[in-house]
Amino acid sequence: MFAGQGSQYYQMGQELYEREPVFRQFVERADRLVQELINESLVEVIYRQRANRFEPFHRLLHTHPAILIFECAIAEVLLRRGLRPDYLLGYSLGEYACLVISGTISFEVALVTVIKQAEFVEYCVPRGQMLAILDSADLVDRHPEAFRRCAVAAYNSPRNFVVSAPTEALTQLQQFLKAREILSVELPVDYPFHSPHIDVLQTVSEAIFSRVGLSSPQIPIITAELGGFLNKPSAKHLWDVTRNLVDFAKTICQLEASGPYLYVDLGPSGSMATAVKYNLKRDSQSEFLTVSSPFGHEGKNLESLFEKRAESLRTANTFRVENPGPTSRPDGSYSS
Amino acid sequence: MSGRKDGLEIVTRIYVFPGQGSQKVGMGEGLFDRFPEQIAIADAELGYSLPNLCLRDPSNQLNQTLFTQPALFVVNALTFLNHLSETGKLPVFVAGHSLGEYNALFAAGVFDFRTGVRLVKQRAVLMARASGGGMAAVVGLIPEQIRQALAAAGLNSIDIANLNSRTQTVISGPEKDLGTSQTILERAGAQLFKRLPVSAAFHSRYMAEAEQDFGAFLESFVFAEPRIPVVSNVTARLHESSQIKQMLARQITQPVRWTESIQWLLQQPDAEFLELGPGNVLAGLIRRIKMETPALPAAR
Repeated sequence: MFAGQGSQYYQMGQELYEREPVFRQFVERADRLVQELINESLVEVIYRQRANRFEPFHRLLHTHPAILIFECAIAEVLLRRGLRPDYLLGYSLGEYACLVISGTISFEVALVTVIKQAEFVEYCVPRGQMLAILDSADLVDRHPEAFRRCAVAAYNSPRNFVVSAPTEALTQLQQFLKAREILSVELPVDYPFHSPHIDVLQTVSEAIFSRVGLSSPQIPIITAELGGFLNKPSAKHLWDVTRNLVDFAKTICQLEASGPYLYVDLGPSGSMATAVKYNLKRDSQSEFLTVSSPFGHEGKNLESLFEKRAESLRTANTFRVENPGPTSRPDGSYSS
Repeated sequence: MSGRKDGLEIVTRIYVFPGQGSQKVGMGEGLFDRFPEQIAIADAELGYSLPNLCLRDPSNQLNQTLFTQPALFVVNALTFLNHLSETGKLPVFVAGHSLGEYNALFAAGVFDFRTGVRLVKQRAVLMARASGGGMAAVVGLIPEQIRQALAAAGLNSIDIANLNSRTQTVISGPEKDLGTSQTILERAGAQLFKRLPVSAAFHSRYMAEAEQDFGAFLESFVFAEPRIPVVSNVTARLHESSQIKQMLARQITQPVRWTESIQWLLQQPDAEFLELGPGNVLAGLIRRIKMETPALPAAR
């Protein structure tokens, strides 16, 4: 599973950067390309400046490529050690890592594309915010006036959804939530993704995406935008991934019908594993694992992932989850 | 400023944006269709169809400063965005000539596109209000020779408006005195004296009212820190974020110090210029400035 905007922080993957040569080489090679384009080094921004990892890391021009690089680098570590996933699951920007790992686009093309996108957002989209609300999403229907000018950007789990809005609109909403003692968390994202507020970018984005050559995925990709398989990646889909609602809750719910699975969160923060946890039914046999989080120990977490794999190989119960998989793959939806 | 610490080849990418004089009917052809959302914003702010003005100019307005300025700002801005959509490459420095300085500030993230259109629209309104003066390009004399020749003849009503290269200068002044200055400067050795088709004496003391009004207009805007360093026309050095509004107001009455701006940029390692906008006036000036500038020690 590959996370999107909001999962980044300073020093993310620092232990891997320092101790895991595959990760480090991948990051440094990517950083040279980044410097070619934006005249700045992300290694400098993320690792060398030693910013506090709990400080918000939110400049889009940095975070957009940083998340992609992190996720592809960590996947590279796993792949080099022979750990190949059965499915790739992408959440918003995380879908670019899926496209790269599945061989749909090259890493370089993905990197240039997300950098271009970040540049365009910075130049053309009025600032806004994204707010994760820890309550049921029917709150929106019950209080439409409080959610004026806000768009639901994502359903993460039954009691966690995200809204996007221009900054002024969200300030009002935050007051409303506070008065009702509903918990909410501001994501470190300065623009209202997954909402009509970014439509000002549609034409140019589709033009950029249409120049990206897309092959068929060699590893099946599940997209949280569709809640199902991405059978034929297209320029339009790349726009939809940025613009449309992310339904992670539905994605997991539908996947579970053909489970159990081992969900491995390869995003920087571990937030997707947490969201999986809250989406699993009590009787689910599925498991979830996080490699990276702001609390570190990526090395140890990686080892437990490899142990888990060794163990499942020993018990003949192969690591590749033995189940028929979601049944109706060809038409892009699940039967449940 | 290039931020390279790993011994890679360094090229200092510099984007420059042209000002008035570079407009021509047909500019923006092929560009407007790629940015319909941005054109909708511009048209709504301006109250007319900008593509129609740029591509057809049915009422012969494109050369009137009231229309020239917003049109050039939009075409320059879209040229920049289009370049980004193709390459993704951000510049290390940006600069612009007069009106083009607004494009440099837009490229540096100081204000958004809509704000840029609003600013240049008002700047154009205020500058169009001035009249009774004009401008002329003088080729073949260095600025000091121009100043001395005019002073020696007792003509003190003429201001230097653009220092475009060592031997290309634009002067501003009252209509009648520009005629007098032609005689003086030609006698002093000017190879060319050419009146420019503008309605007032831009970048001179005669624009004081516009400067004042524009300064007041700017007060209500909130500017962001430049994300890319921008060279100021007034100082020929980088803008300081706290002084940007003041410098933009002053720019209206001050000479555009283009020669020194480019000379300063040429001190960057492997400075590589790209002109983003209609025509190639700035590329020509930069070539000339390089030629006329003795080799400079590399900047540290």
